[in-house]
Amino acid sequence: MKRLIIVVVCIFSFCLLYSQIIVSGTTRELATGEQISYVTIQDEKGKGIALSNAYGFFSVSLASKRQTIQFSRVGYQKQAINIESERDTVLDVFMKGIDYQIDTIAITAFPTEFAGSNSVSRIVVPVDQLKDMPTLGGERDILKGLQLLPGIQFGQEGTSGIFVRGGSPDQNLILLDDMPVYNVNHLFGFFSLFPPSVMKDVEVFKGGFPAQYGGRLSSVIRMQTKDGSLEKWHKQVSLGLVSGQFSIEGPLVKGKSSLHLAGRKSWLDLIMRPATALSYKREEIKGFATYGFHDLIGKVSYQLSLKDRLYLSFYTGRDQGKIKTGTREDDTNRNRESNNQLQWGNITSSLRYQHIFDNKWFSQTLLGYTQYKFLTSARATESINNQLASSTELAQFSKISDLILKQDFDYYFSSIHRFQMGLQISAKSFLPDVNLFQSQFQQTTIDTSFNQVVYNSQTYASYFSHTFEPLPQFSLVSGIRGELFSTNGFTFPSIQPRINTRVSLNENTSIKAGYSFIKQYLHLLTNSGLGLPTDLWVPATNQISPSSSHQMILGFYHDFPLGLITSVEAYYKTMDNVIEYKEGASYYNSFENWENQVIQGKGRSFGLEFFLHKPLGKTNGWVSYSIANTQRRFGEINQNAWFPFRYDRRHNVSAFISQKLSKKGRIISATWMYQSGARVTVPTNLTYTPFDIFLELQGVADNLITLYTTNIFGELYANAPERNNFTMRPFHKLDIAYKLSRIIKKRERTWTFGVYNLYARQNPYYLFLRRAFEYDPVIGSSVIKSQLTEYSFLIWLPYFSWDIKF
Amino acid sequence: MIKGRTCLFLLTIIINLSCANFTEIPIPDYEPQLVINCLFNPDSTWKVNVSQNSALNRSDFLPDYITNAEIHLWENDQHLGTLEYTVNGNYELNQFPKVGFKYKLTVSAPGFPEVSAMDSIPIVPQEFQVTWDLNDPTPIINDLGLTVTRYPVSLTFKDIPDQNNYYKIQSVMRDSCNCINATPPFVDRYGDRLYLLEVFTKDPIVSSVSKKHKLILFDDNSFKNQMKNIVFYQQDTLSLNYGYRQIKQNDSIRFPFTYQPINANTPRKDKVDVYVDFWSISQSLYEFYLTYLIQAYNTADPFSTHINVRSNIVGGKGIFGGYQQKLILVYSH
Repeated sequence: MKRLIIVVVCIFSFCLLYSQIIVSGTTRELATGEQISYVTIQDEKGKGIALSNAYGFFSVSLASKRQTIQFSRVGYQKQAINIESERDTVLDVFMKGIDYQIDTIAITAFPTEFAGSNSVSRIVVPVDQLKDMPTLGGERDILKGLQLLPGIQFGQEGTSGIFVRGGSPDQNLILLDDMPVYNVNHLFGFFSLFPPSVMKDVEVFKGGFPAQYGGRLSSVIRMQTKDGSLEKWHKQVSLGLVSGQFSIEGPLVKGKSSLHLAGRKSWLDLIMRPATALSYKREEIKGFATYGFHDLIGKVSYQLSLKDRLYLSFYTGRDQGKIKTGTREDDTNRNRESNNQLQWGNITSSLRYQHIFDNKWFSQTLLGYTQYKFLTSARATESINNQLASSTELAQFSKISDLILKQDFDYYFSSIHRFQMGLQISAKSFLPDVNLFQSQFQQTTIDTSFNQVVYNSQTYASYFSHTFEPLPQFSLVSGIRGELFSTNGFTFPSIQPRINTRVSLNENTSIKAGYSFIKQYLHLLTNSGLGLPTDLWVPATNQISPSSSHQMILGFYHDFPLGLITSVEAYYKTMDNVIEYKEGASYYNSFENWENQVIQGKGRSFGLEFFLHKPLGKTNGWVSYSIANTQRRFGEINQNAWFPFRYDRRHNVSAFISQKLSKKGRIISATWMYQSGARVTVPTNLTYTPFDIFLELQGVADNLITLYTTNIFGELYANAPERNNFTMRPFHKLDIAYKLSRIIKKRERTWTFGVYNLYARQNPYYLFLRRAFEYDPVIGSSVIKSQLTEYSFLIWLPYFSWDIKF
Repeated sequence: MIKGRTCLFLLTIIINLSCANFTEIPIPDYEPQLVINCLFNPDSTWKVNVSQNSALNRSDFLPDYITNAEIHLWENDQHLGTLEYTVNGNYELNQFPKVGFKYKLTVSAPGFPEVSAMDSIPIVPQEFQVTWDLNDPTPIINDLGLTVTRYPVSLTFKDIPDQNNYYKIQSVMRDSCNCINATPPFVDRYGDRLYLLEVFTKDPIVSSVSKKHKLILFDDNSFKNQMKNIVFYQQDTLSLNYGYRQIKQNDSIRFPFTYQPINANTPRKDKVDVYVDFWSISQSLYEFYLTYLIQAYNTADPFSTHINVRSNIVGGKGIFGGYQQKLILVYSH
């Protein structure tokens, strides 16, 4: 009993000690009123006392009733606020944004970016820098910018898919305004859904995951779109080689409510349709082929009071391809038509309500819905004398949808303790792969569908995280996340511990370590890893287990003067129950249930990453280098031995530099990238089998020879010593861009000219074995020629774009 | 109009400058290994073919036969005999394999490590019910995206109990009267012309890749110890004139050859017969066939991963596989 009394008295005293003046509020940008996240709050002596959260909320307890506190963040002028109040205060702190290319000498102070923060393996991506990066076809792309960061790489050249620390693209939780997006690609992965012009904040967690995030093994990429200015209307139009974009933002109710709306539409369909129609016409075929995509993204915010804010966000985007052909035989009055379609798209929408309780509690309630749909269909009809003689239609369809209710709390108990906790309920519906077959022929009609299996699943998650920072030199962030996933009657519970710690050696140098365990309850069935629309999302089931990962990180961080920040991180990651198609199985040749087509195995990855970043200044940019080793092991592949992952690229070097030229409004920027070659399985020898073995298969081989000229093995087949035994040639390229801005009549017009792959490096795109009959003049007859061939494209691609802001 | 042409011109330049390119890469070295090929069934005496694997960039189909190998055969761990070399890498032993026995093969040859393999002959179901409904044409979209007419064959059999079973179905037409106006791919020892008919099924038990070809491969995981009815759609014999590829000049390298009799007891008839050729095959043979089909199919897809043909030869390549065959007459004309 005595002990209990002592504990209660201690807690009471502890609370009294901290029951001082509490200053809380939101950090905002002066010009637009947008919330600014992750602002460092310092006392008069420059000692960090708090950090605003991802939504700009902060809460500090002040010992003195008259005190000055300072707010600072990269890209904003330092703001000092004098507090003279005897009561708790709620305020909005407005900070003036500065040109990130300001002369470095003019920058008086930098907040600690890496060394002082409590997070591990987290990078806040400078959106302004991404806007200046050279691009492919003039399409600015956030995900391609991320591919230049250490530990992040692309799959195939030119595509937006990202592979983080040996993970696969499905292991990235991509959040758009806190809602997951399931397919982030346009045009088969060459462009992503997200242009930087609509983004406010982008942050990437490669490890050391906060407890509030779960469900993906390799990364969390959190993107917040702009709220829209509360003060003034701004409009922007951009025209590029591939698409045109617009954005409009401004106050619906000045100072209280804002709207931000942006859209993009590709030009490809406008060019393709007449060009292909002309081409078909030459072959006496009536028809065309077309392909296009569009996006529409919007956000409405409403400030109900200083403590209450409401957001409505939405995104919709779609890709659509179509090939339509028709022929007519006049003598028989017979018409044949074929119509092939491919379309996919995402819809996300969310309603968020943010509220500040008691000056220390921040809460966000989110209700949202996200959906990804894919459809491909082929229809062939034949009519005689305008009467339908036969028709056949084959369609494949897949869909995933997710309804989410989430409640997050952020409690700034004191400058030493901060607590974050929350609950999440999610109802997912998976319709992985439905095949429809309809046919009408003579008097017979068939209407069949296969695999129309719906998986309904629910996820219940809760988390608790405690940030303990008793000294400026030490912090410990410990958290735990509990999840319960159920699908079609099966449940999978899990407890996932997370821990990060920082020890600062001095004001600018620190060592950090982190550990996280994470589970993933959904898988992506993919053959190529390209992020194709045909990739299928499927849930963990009683046959297919959830995948899981342990990751350990140790890092060294140092912030140099004049805003140069550096880090060196080592990591070791293991993965269990990662999924892969069985050998040879794929979406394309599937009528059977996906569960019978996949296998599960293990993965491991370890590496060292270096990052040197200069976010501000006339000359800014970064250099990153990573060395990594990534392997996979499956019981049914490679005789259960570890083999290199397809994208086990040993060395990755990326550099980005942006230079503001002396003449006003001119910027030149360049990116250079080097990656070791990807791994592929290459046969090295042929095996002969006499015909009586293959007698029964002879018809098969004949058929294949007719269809595919690249392979004429006949009774010979090829062998590789092991999976992914061959390393393709290294990939490297230099992209440059030149940006020219002028303000004429208060309208800023910008021309951007650039070249993708300036020195025309022929990078390997894929590798294949060509075997074909060729006439040999020496022998006087045809012989088989084999050659291992690498295919390259995207060699030296210039572009331009034009923007106007008004 | 002029502006449109200028744009088109610029676009053409850009596309040309960024066009695709091919680079030739040296083929990696390989380790020489023995290749053993032997399928055995109760109706044929032992015959084993031995060769060695060869460079990927060789320019002919000619195999590197091994003529000085020493081959031993064991039946249930009892030494059955040593095989004698005949011709073209073939080694023979004048004994018939038996159902229910385990066979082991060891092969040694100078310059190669010894290789070995084990397998046995599975039991084949005996009772079948089969119908081929020529009054029920079904339009099917084939691999070329064309709509073709096929006729449903319904085949019912009882799974062999208490063991894992693997089956292969093909459809063979025997023309004893030269009635079919198409060059036959095979001729049996009576001079009858043999054609493989296309088969296609939507039955989910069938491994997906085999649906693309002229055979149906499947295991009994979903119908163990039960009656199984499988419906497949078979090419009409009359469509052979259009549907079957003519033999090319180049095929003379591989033809003619003698098709071993599909069943020695099958009487010769002066007419056209269609058989369902039903095999019970060992697991090793099933995996061998399946992976071969996958490899062949995937070669058309540059993004697909190369799949090795599964081999049960320890230390080498090839196949040592047992099977048993049942021919079921479904049509006689």
